[in-house]
Amino acid sequence: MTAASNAFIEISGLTKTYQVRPRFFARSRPLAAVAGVSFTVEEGGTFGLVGESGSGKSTIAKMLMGAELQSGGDIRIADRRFGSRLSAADDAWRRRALQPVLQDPTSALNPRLRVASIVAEPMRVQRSQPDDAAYERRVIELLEKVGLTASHARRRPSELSGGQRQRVAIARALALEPRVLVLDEPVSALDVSIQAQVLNLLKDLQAELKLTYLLISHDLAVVAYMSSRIGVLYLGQFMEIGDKADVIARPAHPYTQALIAASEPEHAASLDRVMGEIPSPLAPPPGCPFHPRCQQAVARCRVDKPLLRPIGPNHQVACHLAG
Amino acid sequence: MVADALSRTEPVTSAPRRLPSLRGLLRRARLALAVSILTIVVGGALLAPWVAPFDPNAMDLGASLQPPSVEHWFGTDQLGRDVFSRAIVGGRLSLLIALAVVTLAGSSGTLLGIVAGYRGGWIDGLIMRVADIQYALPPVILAMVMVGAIGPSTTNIVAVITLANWARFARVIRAEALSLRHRDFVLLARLAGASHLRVVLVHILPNVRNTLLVLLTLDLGLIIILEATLSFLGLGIQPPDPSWGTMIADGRGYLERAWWTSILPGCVLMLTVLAANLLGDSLRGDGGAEDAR
Amino acid sequence: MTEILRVENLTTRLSARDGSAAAVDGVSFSVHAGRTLGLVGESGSGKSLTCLSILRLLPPSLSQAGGSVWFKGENLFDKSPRAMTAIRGGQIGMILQDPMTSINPLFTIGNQVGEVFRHHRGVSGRRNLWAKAVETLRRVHIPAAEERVGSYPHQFSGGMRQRIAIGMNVGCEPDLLIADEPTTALDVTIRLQILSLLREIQTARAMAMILVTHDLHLVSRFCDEVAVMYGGRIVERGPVARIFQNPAHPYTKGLIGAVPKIARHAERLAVIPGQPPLAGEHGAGCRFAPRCAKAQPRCFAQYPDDRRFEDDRRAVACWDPEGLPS
Ligand SMILES: Nc1ncnc2c1ncn2[C@@H]1O[C@H](COP(=O)(O)OP(=O)(O)OP(=O)(O)O)[C@@H](O)[C@H]1O
Ligand SMILES: Nc1ncnc2c1ncn2[C@@H]1O[C@H](COP(=O)(O)OP(=O)(O)OP(=O)(O)O)[C@@H](O)[C@H]1O
Ligand code: SF4
Ligand SMILES: [Mg+2]
Ligand SMILES: [Mg+2]
Repeated sequence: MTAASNAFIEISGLTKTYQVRPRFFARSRPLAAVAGVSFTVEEGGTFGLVGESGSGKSTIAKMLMGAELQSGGDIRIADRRFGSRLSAADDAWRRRALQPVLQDPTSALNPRLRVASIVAEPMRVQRSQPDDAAYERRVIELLEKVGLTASHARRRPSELSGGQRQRVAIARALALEPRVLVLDEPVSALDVSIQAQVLNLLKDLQAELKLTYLLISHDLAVVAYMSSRIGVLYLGQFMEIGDKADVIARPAHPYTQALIAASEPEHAASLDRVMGEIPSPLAPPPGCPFHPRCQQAVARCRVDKPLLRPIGPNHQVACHLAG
Repeated sequence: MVADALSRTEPVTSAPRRLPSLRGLLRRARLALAVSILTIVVGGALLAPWVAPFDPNAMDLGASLQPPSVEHWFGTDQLGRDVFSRAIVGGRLSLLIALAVVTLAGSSGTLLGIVAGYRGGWIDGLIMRVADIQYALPPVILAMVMVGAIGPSTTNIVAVITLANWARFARVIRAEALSLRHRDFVLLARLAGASHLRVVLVHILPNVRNTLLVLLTLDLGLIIILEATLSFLGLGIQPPDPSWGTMIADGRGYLERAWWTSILPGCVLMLTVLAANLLGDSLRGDGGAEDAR
Repeated sequence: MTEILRVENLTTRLSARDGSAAAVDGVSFSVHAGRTLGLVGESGSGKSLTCLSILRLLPPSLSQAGGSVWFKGENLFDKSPRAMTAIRGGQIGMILQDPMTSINPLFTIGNQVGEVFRHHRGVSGRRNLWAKAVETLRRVHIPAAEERVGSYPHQFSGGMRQRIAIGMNVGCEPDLLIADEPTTALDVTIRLQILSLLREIQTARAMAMILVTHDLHLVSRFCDEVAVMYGGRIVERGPVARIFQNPAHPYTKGLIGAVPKIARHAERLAVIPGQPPLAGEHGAGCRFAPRCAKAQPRCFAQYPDDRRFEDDRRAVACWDPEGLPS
C-alpha cells in the first residue's frame, strides 16, 4: 500500500457482504458486493472508479457516505476513522463534509418542492443559516455557482431540463460547503452535449472550491477525462489501480484493455475482446474472477487467485501475466 | 471561474407551453359540472331547514302518494310527506356520515399506509394482513354483523363504515409510500440528517396528496351508497329521520303506483355519487393540481 | 448495391390536428442491402418516432402527416394493416432498447422463438419448431442451447435476452433490421458482443440495417452511413468516415467534440451551449440556430435547404457549412 502522506480519504480492506435469498424458499447466501478494496484519494484530487453493472461501485460510495455500514475494513477521512462505532461528532462532520450527487436527477429531486427548497434542504436540516433571508441569499449564490440564475429558484423540477436538474442536484450538494463530492454516475442520464457541460462545470467547481471527488462511472472515457487516479473494479475487487496516465496508456490487465476497447470501439482491433457474461456475484469463479471471460487465461488462472501487485510506481495489477 | 460557468449557461426557457386542446376543454367542463352538482347538493343539505319547502316529517294523510307537482316537486310519500324536503334533509344526514367516514377512514388509512410502506418490516406485514382480512369481508356483511351486535345509531354507522373502508386507503397509500421510500430524494434527505418525521412530512405526504385526493372523492360515492344500503336494509338511519337509503326502502312497496317516492331520491343519490366520481376522475387526470397554489 | 429502403419526406405530428408540432419533420434517407445506417441525435430528436413511423407502429395519439416509405419498391403507407403485420417480423425485423418489450416473461424462450417461425414461416409440428428454436439460440451464441431452450426469460441475463430478441427478429431472414438503441441498457463489454453478433448476421445475409443510437463511438465503428438528427430533422448525412473526419454541420462538429475520448488529453471538453429544443418548440429557421456560434440573422429566419456535395454522397442543412464553399 502506498499511503500517500496527503491522503484525504484512505480506504483499506473494505468489504461489504449482503445476505441474499436467491429464491423465495432458498437459504440465504452471502453476496460479496465489495471484497477487500483499498485506495487513497488525495485532497483536491479525483479518484475514478470504473466497472460494469454490479461490480460494487455504488456500494463503496454508500459505505463512504455512511448510508451502509461496512462488513469489514477501514475508512479514514481527514484522519477520522469511520467504523461500526462512530462518535456523533464524526457522524455530523461526515454529513457536512461528504455530499453525494447521484445518477438520476429526476429521482434525486422531490417533484413537489421548488428548486429553492430542494437546494436549501441540507442547510435547513443542519440549521446552518440564521434566518430565511440568509437561506434565500445562499440558495441564489449556489444556483449562480452552478450556472443557473435566481429565476430558477421558483421552478419545480418538472420545469427544468435534465442538465438543469443535475445542476440543481450539484448546487444542493455544495450547500454545506463540503470537502468531498461523491459522484455516482453523475452524467450517465444526460445527453451527450449536456454531459460535456456538466463535466466541465464539475471541473471548474473542483478548481475553485478545492473539492475532492470520488467519481463513479461505467464509462471509462468519462473517468479518464476527470480523474487523476483510476481503479478498475470487477466483482467487488480491483483488477487494476494506478495513475490515469498508466492505466489508460499502459493498461496491464486484460479487463482494462477490454474496457478501453469497448469504450472506443473505433480503435478496437477485434470486437470480441471479452466473451460471455459477468458471473453472478453469488457464485464467483475460483482463481482469477475474470478468467471465464479472459482470452489470455492460462491454466493457473483457473485455480490461483492473482493478488494486486505493483508493476510500477503507483500502478498495481491483479493478473498473473502482467508486468 | 464562476463568470465562466455562467457564460455557458443555457438560456432560461419558460416552462413548456401547453395549448388548450379539445380534451382539456372537455375535462374542464366535466370538472365544472361535478363541482356545481356537489355545490347544489351540499349547499341544499347545509341550508336544509331554510331551503326545504315543507317540514320533512309533517304527515298529511289526505295528500298521500301525490305525483310530482308545482307544489310538491318530488311528489309526496305514503304518509303525505313532501319527498323533495325529505330528500334535502336526508342528504344532510347521508352527506354528514359520508364526510365523517371519509375523514376518519382517509386519515387512519393514510397514516397506517405510510407507516407500513415507509417503515416496512413486520409492522408492514401486520398492518397489511389486517387490511387483507378487512378486504376479504364484504362491507355490507361486516356492517350487518357489527350493527347487529352494537345496535344502529349514527355514531355506530360511522364507526362501522369507517372500519369497512380504511383498508382501501391503507393499501394504495402504502404502495405509493413504498415506491417513494426508494426514490433518491428520500435517501439524500436521510443522508443530510433529516429525521423520519421530516421525511414523511416533506417528502412522502406531499407526493401522495394527489392520490389521496382522488381516493377521497371516489370513496365519498362508495360510502354514500354503503350508508344508503345499510339504511335500506334497516341497519342505518332509523325512521322517522329521513336518509336517502330509508327513503328508497320506504318507497319500494309503492313502485308501481308512485314511482317518485323512491326513484327521485335515488336519482339525487346517483347524481351525487356520479358527481363525486367525476370530480375524482378529473382530479386524477389533472396531475398538475399541485401547481394551483 | 440495391436500395432496400427509401424514406421520403417523412413527417409525423404529435397529435392528429394539423397545426400540431411535427416531431419528425420531413426526414429523407435510404438504406442499401448489406449496409448500416446510423441514426444519431440527442434525446427527443425524433429517432424512435422515425423508426416507429416506418414500421407504422405509431401510438394512436400521434399521426402520420406525410411522406412515403419505399421498401423494396413498394410504399409501405399504401399497405393494408394486415399486410403490414406480415411484413413486420418477417421482411422487416425490429429490436428495441429493452429486450423485455419483445419477450413475454410468461412463456419459455423455446415457445416464443418457435412461435415466430410458425407465424411467419409456416413451420409446424412441435419437433420442427423446437429444432428451429435451438438453432436460433445457437446462432446467437447462447451456450448449451438444447438445455436452455426450455428456460424462462428471467433465467437469462440482460445481454442474453437481448441476443435472444435479436435471434427471434432475424430468424426469418429479414431484408431490413431496425435496431432502436439495442445496447443502451447493457454493459459496455456486452454491447460489443451484441454489435458483433449483428454484424455477423448482416454479412451472412446482406441485410440492411438502421442502428439508432446516441453513442458516436458505436456509429463510427459499426455504420457505413450516418444521419444526424436534430429537432426532428436530419441536419447532416453521408458516409461515416467522411463525416467524422470532416463534419460539415456545426451541430455534428459540436457533438463530436463534446464526447470525452480516452486517448485525447483535453483540458476541457468542447461544449455546445444551451439545450436541444422540445418537439415543435422552435422558430421558422434552423433549429440549431439558438445554440450555434455561427448563426446569422437568416439562420433564424429560414430553414436552410439540403445541400449536396462530394458527388451527392453527402448532404447538409446549414447556411454556412464547414469546409465547403458557401
Ligand atoms: N441491499 C442489497 N442487498 C443485496 N445485494 C445488494 C444490495 N445492494 C447491492 N447488492 C448487490 O451488490 C452488488 C454490487 O452492487 P452495486 O450497486 O454496488 O453495483 P454498481 O457497481 O453500482 O452497479 P451499477 O453500475 O449497476 O450501479 C450487486 O451484485 C448487487 O446486486
Ligand atoms: N407517444 C407520444 N406522445 C407524445 N409525444 C411523443 C410521443 N412519443 C414521442 N413523443 C415526442 O416526440 C419527440 C421525439 O421523440 P422520440 O422518441 O422519437 O425521440 P428519440 O430521438 O428516440 O429520443 P431518445 O433518445 O430519448 O429515445 C419527443 O419530443 C417526444 O417527447
Ligand atoms: S489473471 Fe489470467 S484470467 Fe485473470 S486477467 Fe490475467 S490473464 Fe486473464
Ligand atoms: Mg451503481
Ligand atoms: Mg428513442
